[in-house]
Amino acid sequence: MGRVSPERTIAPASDLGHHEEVSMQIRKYRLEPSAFASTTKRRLGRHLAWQIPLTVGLTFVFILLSSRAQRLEVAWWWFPVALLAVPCLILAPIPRAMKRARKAWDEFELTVSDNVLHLRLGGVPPVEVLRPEVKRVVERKGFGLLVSSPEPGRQIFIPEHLRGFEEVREHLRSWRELEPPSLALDRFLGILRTVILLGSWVASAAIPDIRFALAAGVVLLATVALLMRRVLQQKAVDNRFKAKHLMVFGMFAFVPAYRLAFYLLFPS
Amino acid sequence: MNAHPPSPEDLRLELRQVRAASGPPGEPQPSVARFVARQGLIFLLVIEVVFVLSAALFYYLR
Repeated sequence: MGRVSPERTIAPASDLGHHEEVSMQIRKYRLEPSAFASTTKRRLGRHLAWQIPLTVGLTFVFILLSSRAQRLEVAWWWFPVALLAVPCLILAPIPRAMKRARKAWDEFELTVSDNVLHLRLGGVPPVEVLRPEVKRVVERKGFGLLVSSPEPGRQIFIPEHLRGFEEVREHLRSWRELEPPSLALDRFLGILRTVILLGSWVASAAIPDIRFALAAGVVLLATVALLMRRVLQQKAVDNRFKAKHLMVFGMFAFVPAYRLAFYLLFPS
Repeated sequence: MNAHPPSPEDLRLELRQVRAASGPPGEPQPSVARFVARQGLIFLLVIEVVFVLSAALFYYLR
């Protein structure tokens, strides 16, 4: 399929009521509509691959704590019900989420000028990165370009599915040298965060000594707070997505409070 | 493309032109807190239903 030419505008300075003569090219780019299905399918598969085991795991820990605290087998009746309910809870909103994703895909609009990168997404205030403040332009083959500014979270991701991607890529190369992603470091940090999060979560739920369990709980809360901060800092992410992630992190943070409450209620 | 770094005044002007070309921003979304409250409520409702179901199941199989 041939690429459609991006929209080109020569911005008239008179529009601004400004006397200075300015002539520049402003070009608008949108995502390739036909790439939506395959991209979303792949993204959804990756998403479900961690979300279902994680939610089932959280439910399992909750049941384990309940049965231990109540000293009853009642809580175990939750397990088959939860095992059935949790995937339904995750799978039911998918059709609506797909509709929203389609809308976001269609509304994605990147405006590029000599020194300005301006991204417009549905429901999110536009994100702008100016040429002099570009910190890094990272290219990940098969995904796209990430243009970062010094402000945490103010970054623009340009997917390879953008119509006219090569043109934008060449333009950004004139701004700054493209860098390869530091995959090894990113993976290491990702694994480290996951190990700390899951380790402190399991420890705060399972360690018999309440003092050590609460110490693990403090580590867990600090990790969750950092992760929440990172999510909230993101400028090009919609509020629904942020809320969803905050809820997931909140579920983790719930465990130490739950453990403490049961320790105080059932001190034996 | 400009090879030289632009002056702050040129940059401001260019930014205004890009914003004007890009058009008005879309309708703003509800806040994160509102989404959390809404999704949290749905989650609690589902948990409640699951709890009632499991209690009924336990009572029936006892």
